Amino acid sequence: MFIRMKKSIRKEQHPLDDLFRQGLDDLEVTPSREQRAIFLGEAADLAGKKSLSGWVYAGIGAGLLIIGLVTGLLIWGDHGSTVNVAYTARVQPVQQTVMTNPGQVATTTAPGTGHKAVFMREKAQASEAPAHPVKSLPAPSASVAPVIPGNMDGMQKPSTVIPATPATSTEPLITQAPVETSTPPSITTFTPDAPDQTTEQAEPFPTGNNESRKQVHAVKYTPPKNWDVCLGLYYSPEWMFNTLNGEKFVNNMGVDGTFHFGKYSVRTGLGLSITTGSNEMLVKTNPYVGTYSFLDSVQFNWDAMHYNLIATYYSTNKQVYDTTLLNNYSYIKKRYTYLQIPLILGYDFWQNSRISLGIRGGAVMSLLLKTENLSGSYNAGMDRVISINDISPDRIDLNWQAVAGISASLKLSGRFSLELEPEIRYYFNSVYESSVNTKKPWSAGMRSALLIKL
Amino acid sequence: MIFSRRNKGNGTHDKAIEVMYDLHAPWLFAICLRYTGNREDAEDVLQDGFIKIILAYKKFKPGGSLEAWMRRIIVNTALNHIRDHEKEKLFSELEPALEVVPDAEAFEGCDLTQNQLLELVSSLPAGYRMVFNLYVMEDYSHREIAEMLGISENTSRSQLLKARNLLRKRLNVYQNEKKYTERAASS
Repeated sequence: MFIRMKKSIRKEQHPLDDLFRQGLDDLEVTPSREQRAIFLGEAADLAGKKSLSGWVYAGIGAGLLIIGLVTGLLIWGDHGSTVNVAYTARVQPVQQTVMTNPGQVATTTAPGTGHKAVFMREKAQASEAPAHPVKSLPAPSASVAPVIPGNMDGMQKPSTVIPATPATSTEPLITQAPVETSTPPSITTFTPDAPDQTTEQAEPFPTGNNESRKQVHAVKYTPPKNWDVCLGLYYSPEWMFNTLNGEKFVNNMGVDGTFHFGKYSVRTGLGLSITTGSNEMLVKTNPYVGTYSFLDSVQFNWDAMHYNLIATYYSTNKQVYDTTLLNNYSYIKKRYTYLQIPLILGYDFWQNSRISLGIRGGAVMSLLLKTENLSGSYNAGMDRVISINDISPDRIDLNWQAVAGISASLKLSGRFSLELEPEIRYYFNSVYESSVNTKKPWSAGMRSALLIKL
Repeated sequence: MIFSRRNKGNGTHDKAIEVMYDLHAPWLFAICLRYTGNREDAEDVLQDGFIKIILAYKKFKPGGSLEAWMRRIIVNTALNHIRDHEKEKLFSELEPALEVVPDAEAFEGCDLTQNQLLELVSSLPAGYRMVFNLYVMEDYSHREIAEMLGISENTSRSQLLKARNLLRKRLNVYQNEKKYTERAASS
């Protein structure tokens, strides 16, 4: 009460204010019983309930952190996707020597590799073959002859490994194999298309005396490509809420790039956000009263006969204004253009060959680029304008938004796809410079984008 | 605190809310009526405001005035409610406002009841009503009102002048009617 009295002293005294202040200050109106019952029912469970807002923010933060970590791991933690596998294998020039007789050695070239596979064709009379395997040559250093059972239709399982031979010649093998074995059928194969097996078997072989005879090939193993980069043109109408003067509609458009890796994606780009708003102007004027002719000077000249003086009056029209200062309020429409830089992370939870559905979330930075006046200034008519002041809160230069949405992507053709994304934005700060009462804006929008796969 | 989770479930908590409501609802409801201008909206504001009070009781510092704290919450709730529900522009104005300053003694003989005064305030347009209540009843300055409502100080002044002019006109009508009735009765 003391504060109120003190403040009232500073304020202008007004009998009307006093009348209402004294009359209504101690007014009490009892709410209805129904209202009381409704409130007590609703309030019964409220006390002690912890505000969820903190948890919501913490959840959003944790979610973004997890998405960021997963993204980081997938992008930077997967350097081993290209595996260098060192084959140490017997490689022979492209030469086809097929010996159709049983027990003979056939050499052939593995299709598409340029490597020669050497094997011994199984004898037709497998049943007559002795039980003991072919005596194989000692394994040379780092020589590998992987065995591929799948390629042996009608053959017995290989029982030995043919050692590496000089790459330039197959003669030793061809001559030795029939001579030394001359009996049991055995198969030795080499297929360079089986790097895993090769790698596994390459280890136990010591490097030794045959090093000069072997050839070492480094074969790069590249897994199937599971990432791609898309360039997109997007347009996103946005309806904002909690803004002043009904400035609700915002046009967003721009170019963005999306990096997809598996089900995850990261999107960023550059865009323009254009919105309009009306600013309240205070125009102080003096009202126009009228015009009178103001006598500047009088000049007297003799006439030609020098008998009479002729007076010449010089005057100007003067406009008269009332001294009362009128306050006029008008609205000027302005257009605001922002530069937007988004960073959106995504996860596609459902995909098929043409359609994918996913969630998107991230942040958008908006930087005010320019402000334009769309409507003319206040028309004061004949009144004299004393001052024009923009009294509405102006827009701030930088604001941040959190974005969350659901994305639906439709593949149109090989490289083109269409993306629709209903999204909700929450502005971390108000878009106005002075807005104590204004709640932080939020908005709903629909992003549509045409994506081109690079 | 009486609204603590410890008391929840043993009846103390519910009883405390009930007592608090019965004690403070009447004067807070009057504030709601002054701002909203109708009973239905005032009940909504009272309910929302009281729930905020219960949820925010931890923020209340025991050294301060509970009434002032509750009053501020209710006023803010009312302002937000009006802003959210008012379809027309609250502070649109193109014509200037010139105040007709009444005589200091013009309202001395005015014997309006509280309900009649409340009706007069309630009959004001929403923008006038907000500024008039904040300035006259809550003793905020024009600068504070401008910040609270996101308007300029001049707009606040203009709204107050218009509110006063309107109230004065209606009071004059009332007083003229009263004089006429008295004359008719005496004659």
